[in-house]
Amino acid sequence: MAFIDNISICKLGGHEGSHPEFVGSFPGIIGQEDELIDKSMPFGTLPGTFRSNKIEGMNIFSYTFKIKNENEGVRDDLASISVIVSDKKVNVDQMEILFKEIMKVLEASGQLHVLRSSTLIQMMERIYNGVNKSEKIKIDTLTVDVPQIIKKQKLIIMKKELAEFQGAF
Amino acid sequence: MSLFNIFKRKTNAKAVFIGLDGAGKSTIIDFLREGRFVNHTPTMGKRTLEIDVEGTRISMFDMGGQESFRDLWFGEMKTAKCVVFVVDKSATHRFDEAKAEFDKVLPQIKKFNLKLLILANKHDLPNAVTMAKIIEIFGLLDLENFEILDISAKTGYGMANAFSKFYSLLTGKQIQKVNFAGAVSVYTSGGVPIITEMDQTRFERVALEGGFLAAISTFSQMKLPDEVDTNFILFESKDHGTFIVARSHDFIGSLLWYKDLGVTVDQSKVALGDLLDHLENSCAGSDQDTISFHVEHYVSNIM
Repeated sequence: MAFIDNISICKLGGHEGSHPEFVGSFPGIIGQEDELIDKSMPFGTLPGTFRSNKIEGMNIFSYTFKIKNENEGVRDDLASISVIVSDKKVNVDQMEILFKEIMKVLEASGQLHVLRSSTLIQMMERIYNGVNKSEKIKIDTLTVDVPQIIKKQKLIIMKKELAEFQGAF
Repeated sequence: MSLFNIFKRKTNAKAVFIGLDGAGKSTIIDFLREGRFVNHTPTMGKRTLEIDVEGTRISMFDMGGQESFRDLWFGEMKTAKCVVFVVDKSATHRFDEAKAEFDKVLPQIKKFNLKLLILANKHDLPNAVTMAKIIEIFGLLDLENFEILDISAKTGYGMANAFSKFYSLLTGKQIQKVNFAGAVSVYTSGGVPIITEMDQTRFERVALEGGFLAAISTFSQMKLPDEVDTNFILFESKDHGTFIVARSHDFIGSLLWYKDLGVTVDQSKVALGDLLDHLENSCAGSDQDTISFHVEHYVSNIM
C-alpha cells in the first residue's frame, strides 16, 4: 500500500542564465512536469512556504526552500519538493500535516539546504519509503521519526472504510 | 466608500524593477524596505512589495530577470510610473546582454512616458566599472532623460540617495536625506573598537573616544535576556550630547545623535539597529577591514 505516488523536486538556480526546471522525481516521472513547476513554485514564492494544489485530480503538497548553489559565491537556488497523492482512500488533510512535519525536521536540520544532485534521489527515495511504510527516515546522521510524528499528531492517514452491509432488510 | 475615505485615500504609485538575473533587484528592494542587506534566492516570475511614504503607497514590482521571465516586464510597465533598470556593474561579461534588454524596453519607456532610473549596483566589488563606463556602454547620453546612481545593496552604499531619487521620480515630490548622526562607531561584541566614522567638521577623534570606551566595555559585559537581539542604552556626554548604544549578536554600535535635525531618538535607535542587523547579515565573522568597509558605506546614508 502506497500513501504517496511520487516525490518531485523543481528548481530555479541562483546562477546566471538559469530557468525554472524539473530536477527529478522518485519513483519514475509523473508526466506533468511543467504544471508541477508552475504549481509548486508559483510567481513570487519564497523559501519556507507550504502549499497544496491539484493536478488532474491528484493532490500535490509542496514546500519551497533554498539550496546552497554548488558554485562558490553564487546565491542560493530556489527549489520545491512536492509529494503527489492520488489514492482517494488517503486522508489528504492528515497527509498534509505529516508532510509539513517531515519538512520542518529536514529544514531545521539543514539537510535541504545542502541538497546536491548526487543525494537528491536518495533523499526522495527515503522520504517515499518512510512515508509509505510508516518507518523512520534516515539521512546521514538525521532521523525523521515518522511513526512518532503520526503518533504525536494522532494522524490517521488512510480513511476508515465503511463496513459492508450484510443481511437482509 | 464613504465621502471621508476619498480624502483619506492614499496616492498610489507603481515602479517596476527590471534587469538581468542576479543584478540585485530583490536585494535593492528589500534594502529600501528594511534598511539592511537581505540575501536572496532568485525571484520566481515576479513579486510585489508595498511601502507607504508620506501618504503615498509605493508598489514595487520586482520582476524576475531570467530570460524566461523577461516578457513579463512589458505587461507591468504599461501601468507603471517609473522603471528602475538595475545593472550589475561588476558583470562585465554580461554588459552586451544587459544592453540588449535595455534597448528592448526603451521604446516602451518612451511610449508610456515613464521615468527611468538606472541603478548601477555592486559598487562595492573590486571589478566594478565606473559610472562613466556604464553611461557609455548603455548609450545613455543619447536619451532625453535619465538618472543614474552608483549603489551597493550589499554594503548600503548610496541607498539613501537612491531612495530619495526614486521617490522624487515616482511622485514628483522631494524627500531629503537627513544627516542626523554626528558619529557612528562599531565595536566587536567584546567592546573592541573596529571603526569610527564621524562628522569631522565638529569632532576630533581622540576627544570623541576618550572616556566612552569604558562605557562600551561595561555594556559589552552586561547580561541581556536571550530573547533580546538588540538592546539600547543612552549615554549622555557633557561635551558632545547623546550617544545611543546598541548591541547585536556580534557587534556593539554607537551613534551620536543630532537632536536638532527633526529625527527622534526612537528613529535614531531604529537606524542604529538597522545598521547592526545589516552587519549581522552581510559581514558577521568577517575581518575588520571588511566590516569597516561595510560601515563606511552604510553610514554614508545617515551622515
